[in-house]
Parts: sequence; C-alpha cells; structure tokens
Amino acid sequence: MLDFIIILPLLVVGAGAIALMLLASMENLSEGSTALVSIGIFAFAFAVQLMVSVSGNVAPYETAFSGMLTASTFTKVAGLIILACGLFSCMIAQTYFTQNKFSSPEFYSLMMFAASGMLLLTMAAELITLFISLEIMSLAIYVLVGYDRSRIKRSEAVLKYLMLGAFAGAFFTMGAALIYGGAGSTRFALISKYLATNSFLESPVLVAGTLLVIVAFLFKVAAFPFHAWVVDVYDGAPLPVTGFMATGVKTAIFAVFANFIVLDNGMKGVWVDYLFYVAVFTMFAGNLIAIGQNNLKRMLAASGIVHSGYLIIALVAVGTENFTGGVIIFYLAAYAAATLGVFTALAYLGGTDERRDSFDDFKGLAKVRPYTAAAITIFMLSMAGIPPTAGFMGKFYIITDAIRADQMLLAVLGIVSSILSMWYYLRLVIMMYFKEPEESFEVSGVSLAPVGTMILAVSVFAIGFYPVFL
Amino acid sequence: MSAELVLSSVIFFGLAVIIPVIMLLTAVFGPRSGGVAKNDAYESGIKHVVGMADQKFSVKFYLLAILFLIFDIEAVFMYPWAVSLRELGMFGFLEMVVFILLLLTGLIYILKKGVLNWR
Amino acid sequence: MSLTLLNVIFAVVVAIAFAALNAAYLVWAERRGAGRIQRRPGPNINGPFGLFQPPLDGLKLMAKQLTIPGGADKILFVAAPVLSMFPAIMSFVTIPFSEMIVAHNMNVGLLMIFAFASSGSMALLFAGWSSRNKYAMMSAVRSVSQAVAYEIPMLITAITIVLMTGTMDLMEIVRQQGPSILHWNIFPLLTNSHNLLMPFSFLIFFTCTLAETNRAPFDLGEAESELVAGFHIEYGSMGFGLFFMAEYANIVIGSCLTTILFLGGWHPPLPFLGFIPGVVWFLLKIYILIATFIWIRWTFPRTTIYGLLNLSWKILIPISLFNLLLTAGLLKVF
Repeated sequence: MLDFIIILPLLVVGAGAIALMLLASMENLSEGSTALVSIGIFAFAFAVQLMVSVSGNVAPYETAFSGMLTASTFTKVAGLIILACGLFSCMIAQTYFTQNKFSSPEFYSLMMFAASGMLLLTMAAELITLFISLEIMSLAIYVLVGYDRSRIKRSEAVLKYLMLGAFAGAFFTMGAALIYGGAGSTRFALISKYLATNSFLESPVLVAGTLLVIVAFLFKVAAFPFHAWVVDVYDGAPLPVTGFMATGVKTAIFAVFANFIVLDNGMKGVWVDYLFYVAVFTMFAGNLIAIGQNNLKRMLAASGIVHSGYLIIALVAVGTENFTGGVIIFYLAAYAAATLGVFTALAYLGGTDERRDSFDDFKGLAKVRPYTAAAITIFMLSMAGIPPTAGFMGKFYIITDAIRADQMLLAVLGIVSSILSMWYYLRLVIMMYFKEPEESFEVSGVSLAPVGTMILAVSVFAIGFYPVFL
Repeated sequence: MSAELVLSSVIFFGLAVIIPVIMLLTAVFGPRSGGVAKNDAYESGIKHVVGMADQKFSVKFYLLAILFLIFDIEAVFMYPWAVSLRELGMFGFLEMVVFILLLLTGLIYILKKGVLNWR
Repeated sequence: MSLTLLNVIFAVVVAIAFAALNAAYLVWAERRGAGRIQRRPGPNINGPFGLFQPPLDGLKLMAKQLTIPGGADKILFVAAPVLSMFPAIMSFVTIPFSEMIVAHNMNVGLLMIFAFASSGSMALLFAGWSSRNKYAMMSAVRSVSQAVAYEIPMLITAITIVLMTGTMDLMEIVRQQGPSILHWNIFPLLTNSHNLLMPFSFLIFFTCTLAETNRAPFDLGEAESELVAGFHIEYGSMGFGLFFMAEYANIVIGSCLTTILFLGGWHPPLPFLGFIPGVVWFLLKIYILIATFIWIRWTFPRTTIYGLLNLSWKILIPISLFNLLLTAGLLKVF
C-alpha cells in the first residue's frame, strides 16, 4: 500500500486528465469552467503531494514497485514544483485563452497528462520506466506546442521539436539498450551495484550507453550542443505551453538526470569532466543568444539555456555519497517561480494573438500599470540573481557547492555569466521604467493571471528566505 | 535449432515452392497474347479508363489503421495475462481491469469525438 | 516427431489437397445451396448433381492466360495470390482434427493462427495496390479496414476462451471440453467454470469470423454493384483461382477455429457416441458451420461500409471488452 501512497499525486493528476478528456468529449464544459476544474485538480494534487512529502525520508534509493520507482525528498519536492508549474500554467492558460481563441478542454487534459509523465519521470528508478514517462511527457508536450493549428509559426515549432525530440528519444532507447547489455539490468540500484564491483571504463558498452542517455537528457534541457531548437520552439509555442515547458520539463529532466548521474562515483567521475565544458559552453552560448534577442519570449528561451548551464554546474558539484539534491531543487524552484511569474504577467499583457512580444512593446509599463511592472522587475531581478530574491540564493548555493567540490573555475565562470545576463534582464526593466508609455495596456476580460503574478512575486521572496539544508 | 522449427520452416518453404508452381501451370497451359486493350486497366465497359488508381482516400481509413494498431497490440498484451489469470490472484485481475477500463475510456473518447462517424 | 522428408512432403501435400478440395467442393455446395434457396437447380449438367463442375472449372482456369495489366507492379501482382494462400494453408498445420490427426501441435497454436490470419490482409493490399486499378484499390482499402476492424473483437473474444482453459494450446483447449455437450465452451455447465456468458462470446466470435472471411452480409470488399469484383478484379486464370481457394480455405479455417474453441472439437455431443471416430465429429461440426455460412450469405442483404465498420467499432469492440471483463471477474469470484 505504501507504494501507492507514493504515486498518489500521480494518480490524482492522471485520473483528472482522463476525466477531463471524457468530459471534453461530452462537450458540456464551458471554457472557463474547464480551466477552473483543472486548476482545482492541480491544487488538489499539490496538496496530496505535500501530505505525501511531509512523511519523508532522505534515502537515495527508497524504492517502490519492486525497484521501478524511487521516492526521496528530492523527488517529492520536484513533484511539488511540477504540480505548482501545472497550476500556474493553467492560470496562464485561463487568461491567455480569453484573448487567443483556440482553446478546447483537451488542452488542460494534455497539460495534466504531461504533468503525470513528469511526476513519473522524477520518480523513475529504472530505464524502461524512465523512457515511458519521458514519452508520456513528450507526446503531450508535442501536441500542446502545435495546439494552434492556424498559425505557421506554431507548426514550425512543433515540427522542430518533434523531429529533434524523436531523435533524443531514439538516443535514449539505444543508450538504455546498451546499458542493459553492459550491466545486465535496467534498474538503477542494480546498475549501481554492478558498477561498484566492475570498473566503469572497462566496459565500452556502458560508456556508450551512458553517453547516449546523457545526450538525450542534455537535449531535453537544451544544453550546449543541443540547444539550437529551444529559441524557435519556445517562441512558437503558445504562451502557457512555453511556461510549462520551460519550468516543468526542466524540473522533471533535471530530477531524473541527477538521479541517474549519482548512480556511481566512477561513472560520474568520467562524465563530470565533460559536463564541465557543457556547463561552461551552455552558459555562454545562452548568454550570447539572449543578448541578441528583441523578442521577450525568445529572450526567456535563451535565458533558459543559461539556467540549464547553472543547473549543470550543480550536477557537476553533487556528490554521489549522501545525495540530497537540495541545491538543484532549490534552484529549480527559484527559476520556476520567476519564469512562471513573467509568463503570468505576459498572459494578460500580451493581448490578442500575443501582440505585445518585444522589448519595445513594454515601454513605460511602469507608468500605466505600476504593480505589474514591479512584479516583472522582481522576477527579472530574481533571474539575474540579485539579492534578496530566490534567484540570488539559488545561485549562491550553486556557487558555494561548486567551490566546495573544488570546481573553482566553474564557480568563477558562473559568476561571470551571471553578470553578463544582467544585460538583457535589466534591459526590460529599463524599458518599463525609463521610457514614456505609448499605449494604455488595456486588458480585456476578468482573469486569474494577475492573482498568479502576485502569488509568484511573493513566493520569489518566500523561496529566497527558505533555508536549505545542504 | 529445434526439430519443430526445422519442420515448420520446411513446410513453409515447401509451400513457397508448391503454390507458385500451381500458379505458373497456367503459363504452360494457357495462351499467350497481348495488345493495347488487353494491357489496359479494367473499366466497366467504357473504352478509356476513368479516374486514377492512386486517388486519395478518406483520412478516416488512416485513423482506423492507427486505432487498429493500438487495440491490436493491447489485445495481444492480454493473452499472457489470460493464460496465467488463475495464478495471478486478485491484484493481477484488478490491474487488468484498470487497463481495460482505460482502453474503454479511450474508445469512448474516440466515439464521442466522432472519429468514426462517416459522412 | 520423426523428421523424414517424406513426412514433410506428405503433410504439405495433404494440407494443400485438403484446402484445394474443400475450396472446389465448397463452391459447388455454395452454388447448389444458393440454387435451393432461390428455387432454381444450380449446376446440374456435368456429372451427377453437377459434381464434375468444380474440377472442370479448375481446368478451365488453368488453361487461361495470366494477364498482367500494363501499369501493374509485376512482382507484387504475381506475389499477392501466392501470399493470400499462405496463411490459409499454414493455419492447417496446427489445427487438430482429432486426438491423432494434427500436423504439428504447438503450445501457442491459437496465437499462431491469429498471426497468420492477420497477415492475410497484406495480400489484399498487395493485390489492390499492384493492380493499378481504382476499383481494386478501393476494394483493398475497404477490405483491409474491415479485416482490421473485426480482428480486434475476435482477438478479445478469444481471450475469454484462454481465460477459461488457461492455455493457448489448441489440443489442450479441446481436451478440456470432453466428454459431453455440456462441457463444450459454448455452454459450459458441467465444467468447473460455470460461465453463462459463453454463448455470447460465441455469437461475437462467429460474427467476426463471417466478417474476417469477407462473407455476406459483410462482403463489402467485393460489392459487385460498386466495385465490380473487388481487389482481384485484374486477376484472371490461376491468380483468380488462388484468391478463390484462399477465401474458401479461410472459411474452413474459421469454422475449424470456432469448432475447436466453442464446439468441443472432436468430442461427440454425448459420451456414448464415442465409438464414432473423433475426426468424423470434427468434420461434421465444421461442415454444419460452413452450411450456416452459406445459408447466411444467401439470406441476408449486404450492409453498407459505414454500417459494417460501425458495427465493429461502436458495438462489438465495447461489448467484447465488457464481456472479457465480466468473464474474468466471474472466474475470479467463483
């Protein structure tokens, strides 16, 4: 029975998705009520996850379902972040669809399917479960990216994402097969046991297999050599989906990435050397791309690459002994709060068909809508890493962790990259505060997104003050 | 290789010889003639062929094919379960109930969405 | 099992001869039966009761030219009829006609027959596509979507039998159905699984068999009024002959399977009739089923393609899934 308690939030979201899908087919749900129902389901699942998490322990391989799933504080908090992302993405969607008319109840259903895939992904302790959950998540996200079939930009995005995502999936399957061939098991615990007695580098099959699996992960988080798709896809996807992808997918993948990389010290030792370069290049490539963007969504996409870079620093620094993942999860929470905050604000400021999307469109926002402008400023400062926001604390923990792991160079480069990223985050703040308004930023329809913006602005500080036990 | 496999494959390839031979008997016994009209595709009594063979079909047929793949594979999954149901206990039964109910839910969604409503 | 070459050749020849003879004389039976039903004599010129008609028809087909249309894909065009015969004959290999007479029994016989049956639709598609004829193409698409649609309820219904017997071995399935009619799977009152849903399963299975073999009222693949002759419209001579043989061989396979799964295989209906050899009972049962096939064909009008597909997807599949659930539940509870 204990096994089922662990996946209870997953069951709630999954059942909600199926119920919503059936209701959608009956066609007796109005648009607004679907959004409310789905927000309710996410909130309920969040509460359930919270209750499950309270009774937690921190063993790295606390397994369930005979070793197919793992549950630790790390995975539970990752689940909390994912469910919160789902909740706020539904809020964004509710507002977004008052101004963009291509909604149908299945949108929310797919959102929940994606969320259940992500939840399973965080808990996966076995390569086949991992692959299945990866695909549950990805397939739902593919559909969501191309949800508005009437616009060519969306089609372009979904095609790019689908093609490359399918490649990543293929890489992963191949890698899983090779690892199975090398270690004789797909379970993390057994692979770890095998590696404890056999040297990692002596088995070329295992080296190739782990390389392919790591490539798939790096693709999904848009790390350096595999980051090219992210700007176009985030730009082309509908706003709520972009927000969900940027936060939820990243959280899920980094959770499982961390679970995978701490399998064995020898294996980690081999890949850390390479992840070092991946982290550095990811940060600087992301910064270079972000500086050149005029479109807000594209800028956020590119900055997402940079944040992936920081998270890879955290991965490089984690120890395989007594792994808690506190740093990673803290940074993910901080990043998710700030990013979703910007997206909630964009949801009601964006206007019909995402009309306002470039830096210039937000000239003088502070004069017309001071509170929204203040909230966006908070989010931007948090992403840039300025105290006392959560973003600063997250970066602080990552840098100290890197120093503790003798990665001095990486720590310094992380700080340099963080300073570089001020350029494009503060550019928006300057636009909002030091330019004269050219329009009145009228918002049509009563909606939930302003509430979400407020909550997230508060939580950016709240997370920042939350002590983390490293 | 087991004896059974040998037997099965021999039967299989035996058939692969015999059936074509039956068919090719006509080449020995039958007449051979050609001509433009004889080489044309069949058309019911009209001199020239109307329409193309590679015309487009309703997308519903493709949907049917995809649905078939899903349901066929699910049905095949159930066979090993059915063989061992007696040993599986209540949990095995309930798991499959959930599985089948999910399958039914999918079917209900498809039907309600009108995927299979023709015309 | 001895592996002499002679044995193998014997098995192959018997299988083909059985299929060919059945095909030939089922055509005769069908035409005579149609004659009866429509109050006309049917073929009665060649030999007593027209019994020489089928071999003469066969000879005639062999003496015709195998025309390949100009636009056709030649390799596929020739391969299609051969391919259509394959599953039919391979299925005979694993069918137990009696306790003794079985070419090769295997423990997944049921699954093997289904696997071969579903590969039959490939022949239809090959034939339709390679002919480069619009009627053939339409018919192939229709036939395949029909075969595909009815395969699902058929597979699902057959699971109920596997549930009851706990095996996919056809011999074993039959052995469990002795010795009397009340032990047969269609109405298993005296076995330890008293399942009263089985007549229902039988009905679904039989309907699906009708549709799978493209028989009226489900013969949409060769609806003469719209599609002239169906996917084999461009075939003459033995190409046509092989398709024809395959169709009747499939009917025989379908009846054999129904007999094995539901009607007790080689078991007599009552124990004291056991002195008659099992194979006689088996053949009796399959020919009664085939007679039913013919009877149904000449009694019911053809449905539409929409009605056909809807019957499967909207009625038979949900019902068979529920049936499966209930059967499994009953087995678990009692």
